[in-house]
Amino acid sequence: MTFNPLAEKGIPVVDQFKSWDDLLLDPIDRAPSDPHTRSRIILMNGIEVESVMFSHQFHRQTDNPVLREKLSMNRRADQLQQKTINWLLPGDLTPLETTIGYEQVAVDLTSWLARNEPDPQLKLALDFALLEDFDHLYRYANLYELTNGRDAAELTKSLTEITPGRPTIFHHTDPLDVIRPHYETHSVHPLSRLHVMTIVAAEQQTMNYYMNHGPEFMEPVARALYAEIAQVEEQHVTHYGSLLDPLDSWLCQLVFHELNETYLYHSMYLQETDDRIRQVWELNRDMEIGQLHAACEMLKTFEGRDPEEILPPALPEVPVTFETNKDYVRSVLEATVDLRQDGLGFADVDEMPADHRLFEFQNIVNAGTVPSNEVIRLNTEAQGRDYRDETDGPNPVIDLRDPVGAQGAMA
Amino acid sequence: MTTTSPIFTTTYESGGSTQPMPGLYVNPERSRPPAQFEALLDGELNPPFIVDFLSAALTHEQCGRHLYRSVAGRTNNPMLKSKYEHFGDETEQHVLILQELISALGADPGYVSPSARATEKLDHGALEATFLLDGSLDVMTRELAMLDAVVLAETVDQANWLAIEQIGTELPEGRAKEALVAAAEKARPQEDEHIAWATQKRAQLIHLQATRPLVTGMTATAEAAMEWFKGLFAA
Repeated sequence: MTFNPLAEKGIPVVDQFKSWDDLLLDPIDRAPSDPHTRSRIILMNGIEVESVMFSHQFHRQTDNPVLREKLSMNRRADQLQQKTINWLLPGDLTPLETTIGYEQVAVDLTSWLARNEPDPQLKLALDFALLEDFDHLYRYANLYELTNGRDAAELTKSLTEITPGRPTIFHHTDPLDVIRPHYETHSVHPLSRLHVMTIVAAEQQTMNYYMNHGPEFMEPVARALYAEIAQVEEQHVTHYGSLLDPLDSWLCQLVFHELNETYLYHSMYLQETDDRIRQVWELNRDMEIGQLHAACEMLKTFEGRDPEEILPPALPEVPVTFETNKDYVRSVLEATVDLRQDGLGFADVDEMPADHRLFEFQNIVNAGTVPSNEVIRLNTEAQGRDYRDETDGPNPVIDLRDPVGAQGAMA
Repeated sequence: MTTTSPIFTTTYESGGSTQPMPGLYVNPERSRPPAQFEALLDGELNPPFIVDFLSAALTHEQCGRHLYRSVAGRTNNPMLKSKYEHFGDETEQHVLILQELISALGADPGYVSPSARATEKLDHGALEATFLLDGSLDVMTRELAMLDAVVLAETVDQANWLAIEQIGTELPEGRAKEALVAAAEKARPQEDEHIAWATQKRAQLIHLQATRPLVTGMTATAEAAMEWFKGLFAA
């Protein structure tokens, strides 16, 4: 059944404020029966953070009192939503455990978006970074075993495999090579626009999380691993952020943000297995509809444009879904492990000239200890093997089947 | 393709397509490289450029419709409001004329050319200048900023229609020539009126303030200015 948020009443923004008692709900279990309940919380927190930061940037571009007031109202409501949602994560989940949750989100969200992406070039962009986040999950899972003696599959419930992807040592790319061509706002498929906005927000939140939590660790290898992967996340945010068309006005971007949030809350609502959390998604979807209406009013008043001119007639039929993507990840890994970014496009590493700036850059950053390799070396030394959760057989790339290969020593 | 209703924002659903550029990726099904337009106009003149230019002209009219709706809703003067609404309606007709012209030439009004994108950015900038800084502008300056945007928009408009007519006259006899000239003949008298009115009203507003110190006193407070401005231009 189609769902058109413009035809829904939603909750007016002015009615969205609540008491501290009502703001925070009981958190979910540390290891929920469906780990993707945690994934949905992590994603929607990132979506709200992006919404808040976008609104702040917009607010700084205008002194129009009406716009500033309406942006302030919407933003305060976004901030309440962010608190309700992020505070659903339990206090006994450590930053490293949350990190493993973030990477599970990255793998299964990116896979789902890529599988459903109508534009082949955008799909390629998703597939490319998918393999990097997939490898980050493996590195952090090894750190988890090394420092906590625990099994990351207790958190992922083996819905997402843990095995090397494109090794992190190869992720480090010259800043000039992580910029992609962008889509065109008048011709882009509406689903593609939402996909890109979603992955930008998710990756940005991951980058921010690592930037801020990395220094909280005592173990040098953990501190270093977070620093290294946070740098890769910067690449991902640039890679994905460059896909957005800069032609869209501030107000159009605002309306698209609100639409995407509505779509995502509706998606989370449709698939949530925990009834209590399902109600949270429903409530927040209705709040987003109210915020969407407010944004549309601003668009009409100041740009003379009806929201129907720029919005699709209904939300996409298929909700963004967290589910297992093992076969898909394996197929992408097997096919594109050797892909690298090259200018505005991609190239097979074996076809890149030896003096390519990629290698020069890697020679600089990988000159000494490489933390993402060091964590594998240390954990292999401690356990007699690296940590993996390969539920569907050995890694599809032969070179990645042992810890030495996982450190980039390809045959 | 025959268009029956004006489209003010081209989207994927309305058939949007564009030209790939080094920094702009286009889904293959919506990609329109210049070579696709070379056979139009029976190969006369420079069809890819003309198609791109007409796309920019269409975008400018679409943005003009948005501009008029926006300023008509925000001006404090009833006469200006009425004119903005009237010109907005005529601009809506110009959108339709251009859509039909582009279709008649065998091109697609859903095609958004690189120059259309540059036009849209320019027009967005002019429109945003009428409201993003409202908090630091007085009533008179806000009204003048809106008139400035209209003058700028109408200046480009008039130049576009003149160029369309000139292209038409350069073409050999035939349907394309007739379509271009006929479209320009329909729109140009209205465009001439729009720019003449906007230029004159802008000059009037500036002159009033420049030559009558009393005006400054009458607009000392926002409320007084609003009241004074409401009565301005009354017959």
